[in-house]
Amino acid sequence: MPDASPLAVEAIRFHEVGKTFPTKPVPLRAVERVSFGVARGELLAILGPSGCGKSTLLMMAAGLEEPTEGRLERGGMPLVGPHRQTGVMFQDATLLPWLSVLDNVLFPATIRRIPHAKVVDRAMELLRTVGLKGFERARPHELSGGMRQRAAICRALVLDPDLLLMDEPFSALDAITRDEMGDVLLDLWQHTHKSAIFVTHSIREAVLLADRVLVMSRRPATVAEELVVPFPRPRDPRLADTPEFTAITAHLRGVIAAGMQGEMA
Amino acid sequence: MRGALASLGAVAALVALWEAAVRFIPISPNLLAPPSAIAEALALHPALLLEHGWATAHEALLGFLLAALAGMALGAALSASALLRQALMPFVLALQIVPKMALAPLFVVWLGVGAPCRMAFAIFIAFFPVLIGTMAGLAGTESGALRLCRVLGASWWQTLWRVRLPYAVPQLLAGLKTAATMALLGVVIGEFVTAQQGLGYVVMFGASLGETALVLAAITLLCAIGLVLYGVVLAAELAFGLWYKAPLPAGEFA
Amino acid sequence: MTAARLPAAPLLAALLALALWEGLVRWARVPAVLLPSPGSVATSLWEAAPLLARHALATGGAATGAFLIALAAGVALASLMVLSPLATRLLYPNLLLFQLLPKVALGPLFVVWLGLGLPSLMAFAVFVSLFPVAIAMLTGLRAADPLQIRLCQAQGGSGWQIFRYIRLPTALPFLFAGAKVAATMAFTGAVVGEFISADAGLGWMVMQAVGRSDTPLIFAALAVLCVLGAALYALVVLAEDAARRRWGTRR
Ligand SMILES: Nc1ncnc2c1ncn2[C@@H]1O[C@H](COP(=O)(O)OP(=O)(O)O)[C@@H](O)[C@H]1O
Ligand SMILES: [Mg+2]
Repeated sequence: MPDASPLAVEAIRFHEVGKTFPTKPVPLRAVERVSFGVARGELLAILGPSGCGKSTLLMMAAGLEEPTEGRLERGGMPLVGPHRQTGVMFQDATLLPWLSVLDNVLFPATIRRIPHAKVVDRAMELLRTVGLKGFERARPHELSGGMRQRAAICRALVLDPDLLLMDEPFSALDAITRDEMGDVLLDLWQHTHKSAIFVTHSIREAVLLADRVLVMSRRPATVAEELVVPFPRPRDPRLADTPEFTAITAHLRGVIAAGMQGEMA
Repeated sequence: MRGALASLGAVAALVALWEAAVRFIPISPNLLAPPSAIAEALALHPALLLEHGWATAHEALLGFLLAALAGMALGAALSASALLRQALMPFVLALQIVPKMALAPLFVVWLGVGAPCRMAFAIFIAFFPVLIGTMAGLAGTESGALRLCRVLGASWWQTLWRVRLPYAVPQLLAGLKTAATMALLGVVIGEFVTAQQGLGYVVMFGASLGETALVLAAITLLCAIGLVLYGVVLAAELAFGLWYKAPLPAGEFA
Repeated sequence: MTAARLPAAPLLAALLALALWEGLVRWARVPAVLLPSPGSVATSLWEAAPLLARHALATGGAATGAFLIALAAGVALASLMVLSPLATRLLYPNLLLFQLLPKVALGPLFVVWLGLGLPSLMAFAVFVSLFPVAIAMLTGLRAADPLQIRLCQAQGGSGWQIFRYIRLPTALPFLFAGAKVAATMAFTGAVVGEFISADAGLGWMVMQAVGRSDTPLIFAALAVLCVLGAALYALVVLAEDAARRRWGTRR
């Protein structure tokens, strides 16, 4: 459960963060001074039209891009560069083709020079949880797209990060696999309780998984709407078929559509 | 496997056709010696062919190895330093479009007519495919994998060793294959212009005497040396494949 | 504009290299036999200009002719292989075999077969430049999207239409890549042919100059040769640009 006490340090906080890319001939304003935080144990979903600056937000949270204005705090400290306790996942799994699934999951340990023996149990446990037991020795090219993305989740979680950043992690998958992956993540979530930012195009995914949803405006990104998802945990995927759930998704759809109309007017 | 057998069959058919054509159509053996005559020439001059063949083979192999080392080293340096790239790439590109093999006489002027001249020329010729292959390979790392390295805070060395190098190998191997052929050609053209020793010299000498069977025998040996050199790269590719254990992405068509 | 900026940096680098070269030769008093200064090469170029021009015409003509023949023959060969499975089975393995041969080493054979002179020189140059074209073109023709071919078949397209409207456009970028290699190889073939035995051409001139240790003339002749080779290459690049503008081919 999100820790709501005001004294608790947030996992990450954006203070008036803005980003302009020095493109030519005109600089490109991607993010317009946004402020928000993610509490410890909270899963925050970010929805918004394509190209509005969501990935840019996430890249800044990962320490891969520097904000041009404002600042970021990670666990109460200023964020400079990639943080050891942050796990990241992108749209494509980018497993290294010459490593087995297990070695791919252990790759972060390799880079951080942590002996594999220390984390291999955890890696196996994660693989089992996402349903990849028996595929540890397989090569990425022998897996389906969904299985590769499961391996990528395990890789992001193997060093037990306290913040997980996910940029449309399932949008390269087909609709059925995608819902399945949402369920896998939901299940994994109820067990681990990490802080997370989850960028998605799917309203269903956002409401089903998140504690809170931010809807971004068109570029440059600002927070157009913030919504606390009222459903208790643990949640069941069947929640998505209830009228309460549908009411919320309909509301969000309306907000997004209104944002687009405002742009056209 | 079946493709290899079919190729072998086609080659055998070609050889048989050749032999038959020369026997049934009255062609002067000076114009086209039949395969049997080539075999005869091989058996008739073993000492001569072995001596010159050895000279060609070891100059080509050494030239290839040195070109491979130099090409990989400079390729890595060029892809690491933008300044170096800006300074040297114009020359590399200019040399790519001029007929480099025509520059052989310069090496005679500089290094005389001995083995150093031929080897230096072979290195010069074989160096560029390796350089280009190394650079293309190192530039061709999947962007997602590089991003992963940045996320994990991998050092420059870790990124190079654990990610960029494995991604680069297929292109590098393609460059090495071209280089293997080029090194042999470099030595042979060197032998043409220095006219001292080697199979290239035998080919030229035999041709001037109208000894077509000897010429074709020397060319057969040249092909064998070429296949051995190519085999060296193929063995490296096989070893890499055993480690990689996944379908290799195709190297650039060279 | 960018077009004006583009050659500036390499040009500057080349001028710098020339200046460095001239300075080095003067300062270290390098004997002209080893490394003539750019100045003495220029003098040699000027003095031997009529001779150089005559031999350049011979070599350039042979190489360009061979290039054009190789281009036509390579395209024809590859097209034949795509249109006829029988031709593929007969020709493809042999094509691959020749790919492994050290082809340039076969030069003296052409002299045995065709004697001294233009026919043997051009035949040899065609022989070494044909393969890059044929293999690139074949790769390109085979790279066509099978779905597009199916689509064309479904609409009743004939084999020729599929070739003309789907395979050929896909193959064009591959063909140009092969043609660039062939342009260089045609000059290589012509010059190596002249090294082996000839009585004219820049390659022959260079070998004569090597015999007389006339290094400035070697440099001058090779410079002319490089410019000729680069010019043919540039023509291919220009043709590629034109084709891309005309047909909007990818890559
Ligand atoms: N490195 C960059 N340089 C220049 N422009 C960029 C860069 N990264 C993203 N952009 C631009 O910033 C805008 C927002 O991109 P992004 O954050 O990827 O959007 P989203 O993830 O919401 O689809 C886009 O218009 C994109 O083209
Ligand atoms: Mg995005």
